[in-house]
Amino acid sequence: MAPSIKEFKFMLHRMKQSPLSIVGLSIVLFYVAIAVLAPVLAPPGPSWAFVRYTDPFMMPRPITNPSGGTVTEPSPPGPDHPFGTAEFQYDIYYGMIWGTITAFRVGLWVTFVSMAIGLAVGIVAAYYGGIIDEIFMRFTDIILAFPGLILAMAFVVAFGRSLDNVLLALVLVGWPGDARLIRGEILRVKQEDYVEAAKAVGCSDLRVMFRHVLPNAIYPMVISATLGIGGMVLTAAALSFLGLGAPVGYADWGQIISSSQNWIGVRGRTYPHTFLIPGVFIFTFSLGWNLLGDAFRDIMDPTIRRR
Amino acid sequence: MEKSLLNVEDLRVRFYTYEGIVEAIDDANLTVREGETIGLVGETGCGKSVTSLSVLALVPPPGKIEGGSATLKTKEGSIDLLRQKEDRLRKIRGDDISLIFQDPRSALNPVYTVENQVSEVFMQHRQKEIVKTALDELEKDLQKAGSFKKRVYSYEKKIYEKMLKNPKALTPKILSRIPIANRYRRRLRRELRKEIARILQVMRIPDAERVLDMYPHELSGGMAQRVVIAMALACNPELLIADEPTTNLDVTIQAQILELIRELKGKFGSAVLYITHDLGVVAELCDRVAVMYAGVVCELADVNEIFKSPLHPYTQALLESIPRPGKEFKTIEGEVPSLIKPPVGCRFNPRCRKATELCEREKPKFIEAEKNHFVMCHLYKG
Repeated sequence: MAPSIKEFKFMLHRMKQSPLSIVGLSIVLFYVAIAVLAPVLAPPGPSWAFVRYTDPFMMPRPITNPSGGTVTEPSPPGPDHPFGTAEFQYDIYYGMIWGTITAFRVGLWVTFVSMAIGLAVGIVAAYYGGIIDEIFMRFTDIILAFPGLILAMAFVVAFGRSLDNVLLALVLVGWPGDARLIRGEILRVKQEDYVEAAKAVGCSDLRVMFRHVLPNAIYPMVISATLGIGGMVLTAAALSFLGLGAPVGYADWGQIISSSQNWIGVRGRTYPHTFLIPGVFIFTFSLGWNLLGDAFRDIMDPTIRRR
Repeated sequence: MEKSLLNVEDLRVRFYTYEGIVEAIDDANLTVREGETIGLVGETGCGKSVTSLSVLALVPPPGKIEGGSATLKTKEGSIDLLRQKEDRLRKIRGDDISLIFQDPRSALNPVYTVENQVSEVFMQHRQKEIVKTALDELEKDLQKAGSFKKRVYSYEKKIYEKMLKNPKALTPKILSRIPIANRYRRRLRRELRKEIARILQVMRIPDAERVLDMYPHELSGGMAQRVVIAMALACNPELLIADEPTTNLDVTIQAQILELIRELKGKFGSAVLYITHDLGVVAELCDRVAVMYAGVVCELADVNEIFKSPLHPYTQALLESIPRPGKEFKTIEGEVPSLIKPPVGCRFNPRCRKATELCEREKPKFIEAEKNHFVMCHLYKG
């Protein structure tokens, strides 16, 4: 497969030319490394742990009170806890490391599933047109008419607080945008001469759709998906912050910020590390995806590259 | 000697738009003889392109073919293109009749290389032949292969035989999606590549091997048009419809492309339906000319006849309006009628100098006024 290797090399070459895409890629790769190495960077059940959870995503807590109870107040960074601890003494460093996996799960899973649903709905609507198009698109309009965050909140409240429900809620608000985007693109590409030309050489409808229309229509969607991964993580964090995400103690960046609400400055006791550290993680994570999304646009579309 | 290849009779196409029913083509008649070049001339919007698309049954919605017939003579007898099932039509498109588009750049899919685009035409219509040559090559390799290679080759052979038996067989299709297992396609692609390079060379494309790996946007306009023509001629069609193939090219390239079409016509023996509004090109390239006005073919004759003794008043006026040095420049009074409510009777009557009361009442018939000279006008009796 020599041509595909050549193509890949060319992709790397293009990336090298734009420093921002390199930054984006490095950030994302950095987080991938953290996620992959999580069991090494922060082994579950450290020696100082007071409560041992069987779920590695539950953040460990140290023994701080000889009587056995837990301390509510966070503690600043120290030798055992490089990033300090959050409310109820949860170790922030552990939470950050394992939270990366959660972030990828949220971002990739939600984006992938809503893209798949959106693609299916968009293709069916654009391909058949007429009444089917009307029904599908009006349905997506109905969902788009609700403010996304509110709809997601309503969904989670109705079905119970859990990370899985947050994922489903994000898919629920995510797919209509994708469906609309792909439908519009397909309708645009259908007008192009080369589609007519493909029909004129005797291609079947399905072949025209999947070989000629879709490859030309999919770019905006791939870009919006990569840009969307960051956005999904942000929305998930917002839901967690509102107390609708993962349960307390779960390694999820939004949840850790949520638990810092009492220590932002109330009662004169401030622990800025409890919200700054997760904040920086969330910020850089979505920044990385955004930069990478921009780079994808430049690299993947053959019509705007190679000038 | 002059057998008709395509016979369009009383073709009627309407577009159902919001503004009203556009009577785009109204009883158009046209014959294309085997191996000839026929020019289809007319103003913008007179229905030239719609006529050609109707022949392929590709009129875009909201257009509908409402009447008439288009009989094509094929190896399996005459068929009416307007009354065929979709899969029969698909076999005809690109194989018996192919189309060259106006703008070569937009007629090529931007995400595929030239090789991929041209190979699609071959795979649609010539898969059997390609697979057969690949199989022959394989047979040769098989004889001199070692024991390990023999196993690989016999696996390939099985797939190719399956493809040969049934072009729509599922196994090769599925295997082509699986890495490593799809390596059998390499041989197929090599054969295709040879074939495509050969046809590109016929198109006078310099450095064909390099062009194969290019994307459409990397090609110049003339080069892109050559690729489009290569795709159109790949399967040796009986009829080539060229829809203003040179309008978007500059004059020197235009001359080259015209030269190429003329030369290829001799080589491939296809009939060419050349759609244009450039009378100069028609005079140079065509054997016969059909003149269209507002959705009807008003005159059809030999190219010399048309230029020397045009019969239809529109053709006469059209030829007079060609600017010539030292001569007074004449125009046709009035303007092209709207096709939503076209004039009753002869569509040219509001602008015709010789119009009578009959012309406003009754539609003239398409008659043979002189030998091989057809006209649609009340002035002539057949």
